[in-house]
Amino acid sequence: MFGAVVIVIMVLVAFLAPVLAPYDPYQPDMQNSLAPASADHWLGTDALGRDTLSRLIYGSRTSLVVGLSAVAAALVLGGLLGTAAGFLGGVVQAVIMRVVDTLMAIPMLLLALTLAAVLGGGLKNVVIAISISMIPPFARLMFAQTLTIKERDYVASLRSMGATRWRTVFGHVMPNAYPAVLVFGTMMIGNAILGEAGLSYLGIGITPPGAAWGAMVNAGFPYLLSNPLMSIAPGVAIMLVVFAFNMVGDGLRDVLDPRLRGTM
Amino acid sequence: MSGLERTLLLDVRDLRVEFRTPLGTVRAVDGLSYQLYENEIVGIVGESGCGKSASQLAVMQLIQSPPGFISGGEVIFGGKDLLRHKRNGPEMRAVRGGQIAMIFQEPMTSLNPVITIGGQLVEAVQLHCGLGGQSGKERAVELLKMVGIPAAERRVNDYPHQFSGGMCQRVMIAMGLSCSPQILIADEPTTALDVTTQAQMLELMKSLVKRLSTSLVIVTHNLGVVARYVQRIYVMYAGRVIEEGSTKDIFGRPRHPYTLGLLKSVPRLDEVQGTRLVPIEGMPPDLIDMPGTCAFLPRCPYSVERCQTDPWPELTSVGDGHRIRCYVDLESCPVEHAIA
Repeated sequence: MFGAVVIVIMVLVAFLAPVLAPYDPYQPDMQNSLAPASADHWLGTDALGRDTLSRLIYGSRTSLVVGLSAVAAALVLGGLLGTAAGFLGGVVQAVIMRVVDTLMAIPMLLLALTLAAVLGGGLKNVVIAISISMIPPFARLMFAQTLTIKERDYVASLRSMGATRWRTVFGHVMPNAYPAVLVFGTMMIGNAILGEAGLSYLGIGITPPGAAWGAMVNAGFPYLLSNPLMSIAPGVAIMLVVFAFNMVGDGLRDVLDPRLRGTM
Repeated sequence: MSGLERTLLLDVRDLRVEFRTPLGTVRAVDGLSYQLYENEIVGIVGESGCGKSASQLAVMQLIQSPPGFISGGEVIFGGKDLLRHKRNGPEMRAVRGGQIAMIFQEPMTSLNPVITIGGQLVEAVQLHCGLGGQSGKERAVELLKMVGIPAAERRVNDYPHQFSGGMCQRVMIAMGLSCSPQILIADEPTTALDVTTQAQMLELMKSLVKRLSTSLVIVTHNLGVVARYVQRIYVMYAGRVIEEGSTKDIFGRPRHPYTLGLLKSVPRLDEVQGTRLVPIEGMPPDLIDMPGTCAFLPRCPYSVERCQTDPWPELTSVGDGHRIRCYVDLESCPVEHAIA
């Protein structure tokens, strides 16, 4: 429940950013640089005098866009690869799954980091880097799902009715895999947001002056003792949102898993 | 069993199915031949693992491959050998469900849990009858009514978990018969159901195939199931037919020691109270290392010297359509035979 509330608030904030933000998040105001929290600037300002709250509000857009689009892309690509490997078996399975296994051996963030470093910064490249790094886990999940589902009696029964393999895969295997993939995908949104924050913190994600929570944590780092809010506010935002997506993922699993239904 | 004008519908000749496992090659079906005529109900009976299900899956080319391979034989249907078609080619898909339909053992799991009953029936009629949309839905309701589902208009929108096992099997029967196939193969159709439902299901199938002039193959390990409903019986052991004949012959005058053993191990209503059931001693043979001699020999109480030395005999006729694969003539062992 808590997770859903946080996510709804975040989505609203992201959509209404221009209305909610008290200041322009990109407009420097050198006279007001490094201001502490006050009635004018609730969370203070950064080294260039930009309002931290406004930047936090606009940063939610970055996080949401990266989280959703990276996971959507990884889900579709990884899902298709995993399904193909699981359903076709043989050489297709061997090739796809060995590549996936190799990529799984590399930590996700490290992979995203390398990709982002190669591709360069910017929103689009961050999304590409993070989604590629997330393809392996989605492929693995979908592979496992397909392997179990294709052995079910109703798939045999479908074949005995003369259904084509396309129909079997898209009409029957995928719909049955969807609860597991949805739950996993929701949790991965949190991971993707964390990944983006990590990349931006390291300076190879969203480039200045773009508003991104990870970059804001980094920017506030030198002033941690004098103006702690500059780093802590975006840090708390990241934590809350990632936590919220994990909670919602857990909740979805309980709702979608019929065996747990009624026990909650 | 009578009548000379019967038309042959399905002619399975010398069918061989093997499973290549790391432990060796399992000859699940080892030269099986059987025939199915129009408007006929035939029973294929045997213990678990005797190859009865594998043979039916092979007819439909549905054997999981690898490890399963159809290593020989012919399945003549409509003048063509089905085994010559590509496994997943359009010809084979047109046969499956369209001309030969199959019903499986577990009705509850044979339906996709995330699609409504109606949706799955519509899919079945769409595949072969080309009925989509509204007319498909009407046909689905019609089919549910045909198999006796009450309030079909409402229940067509239910999901499989809202149906009982018996109702699911009715849906499977409806799905199997949806495009009026010429043959319906029911693989252990009643095994997962309770006894009262079993009888209902068999009655339903019998009346429906009669109405739609479909031929029915019932595969079962339960002799009681076939007794009332089938016209001819094939008894299988270790991948081969060991006795075939009309239901009357098989039950009244079984001529193979294995068939006799099966019948003696089933309780009968007309039996004197206190009569003991006689089990068949021993275990079914290991299909990996089959001896050249009769596979039933180690368990056979009637074996003669010839059984030890000569290879497993061919099917030989002992009466009108009644054939056995045995050297011993049980008719000449009057004392033992009387027990049956």
